[in-house]
Amino acid sequence: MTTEELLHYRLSLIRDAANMRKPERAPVVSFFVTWKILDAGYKLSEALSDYAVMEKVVRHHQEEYNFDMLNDLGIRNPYRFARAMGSPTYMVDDEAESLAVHDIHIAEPEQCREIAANYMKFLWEHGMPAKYPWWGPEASLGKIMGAFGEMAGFMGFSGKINQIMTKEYGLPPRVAPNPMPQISLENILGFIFGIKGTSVLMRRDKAALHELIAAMDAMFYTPAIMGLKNMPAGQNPGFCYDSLLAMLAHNFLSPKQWEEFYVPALKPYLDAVAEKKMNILIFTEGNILRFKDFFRDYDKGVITLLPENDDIFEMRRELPNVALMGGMPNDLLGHGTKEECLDRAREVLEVVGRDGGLLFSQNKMGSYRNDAKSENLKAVNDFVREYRG
Amino acid sequence: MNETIDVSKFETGVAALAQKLPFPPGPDGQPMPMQQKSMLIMQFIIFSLMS
Repeated sequence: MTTEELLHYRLSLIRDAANMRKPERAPVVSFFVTWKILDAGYKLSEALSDYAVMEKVVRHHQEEYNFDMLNDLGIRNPYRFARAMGSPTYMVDDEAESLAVHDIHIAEPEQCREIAANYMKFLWEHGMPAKYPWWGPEASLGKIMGAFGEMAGFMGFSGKINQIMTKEYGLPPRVAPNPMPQISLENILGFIFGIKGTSVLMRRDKAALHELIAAMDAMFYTPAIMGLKNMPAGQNPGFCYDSLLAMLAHNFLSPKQWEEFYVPALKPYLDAVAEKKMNILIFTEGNILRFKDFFRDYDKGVITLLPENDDIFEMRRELPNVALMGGMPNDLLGHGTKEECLDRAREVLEVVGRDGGLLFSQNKMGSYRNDAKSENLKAVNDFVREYRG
Repeated sequence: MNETIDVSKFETGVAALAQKLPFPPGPDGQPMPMQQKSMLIMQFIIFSLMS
């Protein structure tokens, strides 16, 4: 196959699986992030701080394991930018081979209404100095210019590595550049108040939290939903998916809070995707099965879930309308024998992929050296590519 | 570079950065319009807080 033919072949495998049609074979998807740096023989700090090294890492990952789609192209952690800003977010330990990502919140619950009143002003005048103590009346212009340049460098690398993987390796880009609604609660929990502050607000001042969600929705979510609704119906054939969402906040919500704070944003979003006959990939961090009823009403071929801790066999039983990405535990790839890994792969293909709707992948973001043995991963990927059930 | 800049206030901070940061010219070779510069600066702020 030429690279162009390979690209179209892979796109058809992925779209068939996402649309719950039975593909010729299950596509093989990488969910490896920093593991691939170590696997390519580099230190974490080397690859994270040098885009030329990261390019070699991503190329090595594809050349060794021959995936049909990569969830990460070496751009998950904008380490160089964070370093230029003096951000405390990332802690790289080359000896322990670990990258710790610190949760940092920039506001306290009692500031909620102030944020809602003028979101960008608050981020500028309170959020920035809370995270970067040097941000103020005498900030270093050189530091800001350096970081601004790093932001452009990060975006440049992102575009370049996407091009390389598509043109040279026939790897389809993951998601079309469509309007992408942000669930405001995810940002509120993710970087404004953190888990604790958001939980406090939900219990003690729901009205203020609703005010903030409304203010953020008006700026980001609503225009994106409108943009999505104004698009022509149909799937973009040059991409694996038409939309992408990462869900984390649901893990900290009771069923009542889920209905009150999450569903009002998620439902119109997924309804719009369904109405346009598009495919959305949703990475559900933690557990999602306790909210399974929400996903049951969508037609086959709309939603692909990428679960983290949920049992994929139970997910297939409970959500026969949803395509699933996953199936291979990193624990097994890292600690099991080749035979154990192949047995698991066969079971996933036979049970979860029996009627289609399976994108074979790992169950966690591969981060540490023990998240996979190279020989196990190669054997499993070869097996899945050859399996015709 | 030891030059400092006052970014303590939102409105004046945006204007100061719009003047000082090296924005690329538009596709027509003309300087980037102020509105686009402001959007890039806001993107920078959000990127800073999320990174």
